Amino acid sequence: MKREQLVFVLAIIMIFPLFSGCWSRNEIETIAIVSGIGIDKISADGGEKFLLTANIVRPSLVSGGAQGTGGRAGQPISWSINSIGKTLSDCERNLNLRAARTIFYGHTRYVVLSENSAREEFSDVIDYIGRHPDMRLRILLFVTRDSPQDLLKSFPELENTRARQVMGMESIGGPRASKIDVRNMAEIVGELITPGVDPVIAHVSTMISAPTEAGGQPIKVLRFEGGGVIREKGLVGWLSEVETRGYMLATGRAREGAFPVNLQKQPMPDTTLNLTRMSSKTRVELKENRAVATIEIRAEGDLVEYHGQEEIATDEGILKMEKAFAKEINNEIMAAVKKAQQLDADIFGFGAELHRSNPKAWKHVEKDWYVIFPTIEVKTKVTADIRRTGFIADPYILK
Amino acid sequence: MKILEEGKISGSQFMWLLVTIVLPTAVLFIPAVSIKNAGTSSWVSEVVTTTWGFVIIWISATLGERFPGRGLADYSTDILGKYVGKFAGVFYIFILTYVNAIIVREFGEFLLSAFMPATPLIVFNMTLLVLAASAVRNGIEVIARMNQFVVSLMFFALIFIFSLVFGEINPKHLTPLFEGGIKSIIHGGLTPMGWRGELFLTLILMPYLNNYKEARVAGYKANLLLGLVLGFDIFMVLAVFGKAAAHYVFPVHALATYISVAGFLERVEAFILALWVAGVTVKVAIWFYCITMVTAQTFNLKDYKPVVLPLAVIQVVWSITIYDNIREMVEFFTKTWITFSAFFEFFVPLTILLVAVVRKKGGQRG
Repeated sequence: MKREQLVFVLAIIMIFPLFSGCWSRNEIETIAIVSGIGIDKISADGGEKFLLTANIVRPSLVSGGAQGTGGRAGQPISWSINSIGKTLSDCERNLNLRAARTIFYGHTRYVVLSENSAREEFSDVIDYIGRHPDMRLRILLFVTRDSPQDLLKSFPELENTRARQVMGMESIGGPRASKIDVRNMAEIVGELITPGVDPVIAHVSTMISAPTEAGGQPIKVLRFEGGGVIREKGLVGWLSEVETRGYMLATGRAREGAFPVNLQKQPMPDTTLNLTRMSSKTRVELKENRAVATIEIRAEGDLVEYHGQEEIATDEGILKMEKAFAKEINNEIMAAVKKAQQLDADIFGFGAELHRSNPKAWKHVEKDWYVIFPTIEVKTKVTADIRRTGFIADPYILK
Repeated sequence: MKILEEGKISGSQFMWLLVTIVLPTAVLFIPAVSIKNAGTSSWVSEVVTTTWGFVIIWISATLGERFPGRGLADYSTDILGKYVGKFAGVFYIFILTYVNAIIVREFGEFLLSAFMPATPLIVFNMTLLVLAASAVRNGIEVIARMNQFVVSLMFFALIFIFSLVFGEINPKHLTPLFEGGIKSIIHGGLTPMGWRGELFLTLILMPYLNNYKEARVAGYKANLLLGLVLGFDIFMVLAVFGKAAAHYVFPVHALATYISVAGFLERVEAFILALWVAGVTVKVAIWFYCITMVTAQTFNLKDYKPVVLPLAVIQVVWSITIYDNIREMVEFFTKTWITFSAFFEFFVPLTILLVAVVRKKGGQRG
């Protein structure tokens, strides 16, 4: 045999061992794809334990399950499985005492923390998620007052999976109202490790909804409301929806939203203005150990609803609306400021702002920042413009 | 004396070789170290590093130009005398093998922690060195041509990642500008200096140029390009993640995983894999080639091919045993690497150059 032929045959033989594939293969039929997880802390077996709930997708049902209860033969589209363990990784492996597949986090979209785990173990959860090689930095974090196990069994109303619903809340639903601030892992970690700023994570709860279709049963659904304030190692308090919007306005992250205001003195708001675009700028100055923060807001909006019977589409009317709009924005921001100072958590990043603009002064006050923060005098300067009045100018004046 | 190689490379090929000598590993490891040490000043630190690169290139090119067409291990006997000169050759065999084993290990560690956690390390390291050995046996021309293709691949991957993640930039992460002042800028530049100093391989690759005079300019160009690319690399990582980037083991990989365009263009970290596997293969091949050449020249071999496989075996074993765990490797890079690399990248070549000048060896006559 010639040398070339020998080499050729040898090469062919050496290829065979490679056919069996590589070590780290994850075949689709051997993995359990987790779309979301819930983390809770409970007392069990005479001690504090973690309770990890994983929401596992049934792949065969996702495509066929667009209608009704979301699955073939009434089977739910996802499988909620939980396990107890001393640490989160322990829980993860304990899931495998029930699930005969590798728990795969590569497609996990959200993590829901219960209130007590967020209060005491927030940093541990962050470490677990950050260290896990399969977890993405875009994972959304939520906190709930209800039990995460229940939450992961809620009904994803319009979408066919809960993960899609949650993702939509981040990119579409949330910004429409600006009353929840859905943040991902990278953003939250960034704020957690930066001195002088504390993160807010979106608060989600479950509620029982009336039947959503003819002849249906009452169902458990998700509702987002406000946010949970994290300071240092864990959750310290809650923001209401209005306070969350104030927070989002102050930090420049609000996008759209309806602002009901009063033009006349009456109990019910008579005018609704819709925010269309906004920006904010924060300045923090230090004067003899007294900090003064100035929040400058530029907001634009449209008139979307008017309940009165008089002409409103005049220069004076617009001016009145702009004043009321600015006042409402100011009120919401001040509500958020008040709550933040009560909780002593610098959610607006005043400290970080001072650090940016005046690093030397920041060095002096960094240690006592949480003593100074509740005493900061916050001023707002709101410039609000009304641009358009919708498809009708003056209201239909009825005879 | 012969330099054991028929192939010749052009100036631009030489420049791209120098880029590949530094870029593939540096782009992955430097941002975390630099941001940890210098915070928001880290991307300016590349100015310090690039200055260092110019110094290294200047020393290597000046020494090489005194002995055109001859290898380092060959003319070192002229400069330092027979015994010390041979010792310098042996020293470089040792050092280059050691550093190449580290590079091979970095390659394995990254693939292991980011993509294939269950595969034994030796599989990656062996595959890589078998490929590199085959490239080395085919000579410098083959490596240089392969490199021209791979460099375009690397730059495509980098541009792809950076442009897609551009929308995630948060300018607040960049301020306060230059926090810590000149001191932290220098601090941030120290560790990357070790990587940039790898350009000293100019010394060993110079004899294979068509025209040795092109080496200096090509080296400066490569250094400048590296400064821009790595500076931008650090800038992007810092702008997207802020100081949290210092906690990531592979920040650029994190950057790639963070890409999400319109909710469907996601999970593009495979591009990092392309950059990494292709780039590091060529990088290791170049280093391996240098080791082989220095070995052959030091022992006056007639052909360099017989030493390729034994050296490969040594490197595979060394790359496995060199560190116990990944933190040991990172500790080495953050603490030991700068002084260690400055020794063989800066002090030894400078000493040889000074002795050559004092003893009036080489020069225009050569």
